Amino acid sequence: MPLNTKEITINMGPQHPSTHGVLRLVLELDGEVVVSCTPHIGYLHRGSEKLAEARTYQQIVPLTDRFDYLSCGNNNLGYAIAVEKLMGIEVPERADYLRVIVAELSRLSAHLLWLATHAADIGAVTVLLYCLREREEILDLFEILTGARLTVSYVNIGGVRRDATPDFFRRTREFMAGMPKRIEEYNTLIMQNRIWLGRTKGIGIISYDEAIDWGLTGGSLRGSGVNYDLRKVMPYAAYEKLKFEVPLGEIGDVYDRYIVRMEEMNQSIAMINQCVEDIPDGPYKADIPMVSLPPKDRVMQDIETLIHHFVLVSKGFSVPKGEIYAAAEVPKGELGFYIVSDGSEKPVRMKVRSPSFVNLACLPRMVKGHMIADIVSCIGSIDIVLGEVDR
Amino acid sequence: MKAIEKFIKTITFWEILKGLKLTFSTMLTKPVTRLYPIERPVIPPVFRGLHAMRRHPDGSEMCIACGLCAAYCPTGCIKIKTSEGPDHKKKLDTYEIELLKCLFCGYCVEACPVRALTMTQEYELADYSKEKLVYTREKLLANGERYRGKETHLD
Ligand code: SF4
Ligand code: SF4
Repeated sequence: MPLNTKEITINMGPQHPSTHGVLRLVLELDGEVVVSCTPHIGYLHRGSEKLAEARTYQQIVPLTDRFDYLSCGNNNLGYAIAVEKLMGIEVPERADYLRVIVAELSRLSAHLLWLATHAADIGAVTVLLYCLREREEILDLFEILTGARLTVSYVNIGGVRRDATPDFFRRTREFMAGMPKRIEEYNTLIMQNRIWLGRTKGIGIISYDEAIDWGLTGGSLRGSGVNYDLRKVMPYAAYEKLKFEVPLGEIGDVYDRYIVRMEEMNQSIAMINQCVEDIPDGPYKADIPMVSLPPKDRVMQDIETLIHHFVLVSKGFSVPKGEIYAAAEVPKGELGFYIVSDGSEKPVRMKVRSPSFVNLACLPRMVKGHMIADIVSCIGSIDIVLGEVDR
Repeated sequence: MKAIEKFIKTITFWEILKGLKLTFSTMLTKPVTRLYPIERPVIPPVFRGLHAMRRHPDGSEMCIACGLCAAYCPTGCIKIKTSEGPDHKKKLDTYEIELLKCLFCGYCVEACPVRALTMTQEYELADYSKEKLVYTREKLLANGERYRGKETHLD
């Protein structure tokens, strides 16, 4: 009697611990081999782009926190540089450095959580515990700098919201001094581990050309050897003045993407150290009365300042008519903001190019022909956050 | 020589032994976890926790009922009603913050021109009903009393 074999269709997610959120994958399986994979998204859609149309430019900043909620500082920065470009504002140098510090700290914490979950998915639970230990310290640093641990809303249009205290710099320096050793520890645990190598080497290969064709960005692109980092290509904030390298992979498998992100952490540490050493004194927000709120002490003393304060708070500032696209390199890739202004206080349209969304599109291509267990390592290696995929 | 070294490392699970050395030595270090409800974390003064309304040293309320906090709030969770007082000054009738909608972004604190509103280190805000999470003027003033003289999140 001939064996009756048939492909089966199964659902992975939306409630699956290793899909990193509410991602649903519909898989067609031939035994254990993936024939096709279709991602279904939208479980975390909050309509941020539409909500932005009903808010003033400054009020949108907390919304951007909620795209990639693991690296809020970076999202704020991407949005702020877009609006500032449209308005032609220059921010003070100190603000630029503070922006880089908060962006790189966010990158470090996002990469730590990526490593934690990626390793735990593949089976190295110890790494998860160690990474969360360090991430906690970064969140403590955010807490003393901004007052919040996760949704920092720190970078504002025209500068940053609070000045950093000497205590913050001291603690950052201390933490950064110990961090390279911690990264060594993670590498000791997994880098040469034969189970880890077996699960990551040669899995989900994306070649150089394919990576460009799929529009990948961030670590997923650089894992395939494409030298493209917005911090180098289109420098913003203080990145021009900092020395850092862009790590690249070779063949573009899960292992290469892992190596790239691990090296990026070291680069982030180097950047934060440079910023903490070189940060100039000066104001932390632009002294433009029509954009940044005046200092509180002056508000109730001086009638003009009071009027400025009232107008800025109740009505917001107007942005010249026009449109702009500006992007920042967030831990996941290129986070772009396309903003259309009609000259009023609220944007007509804000389109967000979210890196996780674009990178996720490549997942079916990556997992095709691999085992079902490899899907987990592929999802981990493209490093998606569903809040950003759905917005 | 290289081949022998590699062979020995392979059969002895060298990399796993190295990993185990690290995990076992970590067992001897001080734990970083906290026995939470018993051991409390240290919250820095700039923390953006529960809002509080402040009073002048003479006991009168600082709030001038200008409504700027409500206007600047991105989610519109501050509800404020005012009327004209006997001396033709604006008088605050009711003031409510609906914490379920609040982002704890601190914009309201930034907006207040007289620093009447601040944010405190209270963070355990869970409750059983929606009504209890609408913080009225009285509750906010009481919280302000608790933090009188202490450093809190102010712009
Ligand atoms: S913290 Fe933000 S969301 Fe909450 S009341 Fe203040 S302005 Fe509104
Ligand atoms: S709390 Fe401050 S901003 Fe809000 S109404 Fe009172 S004075 Fe105005």
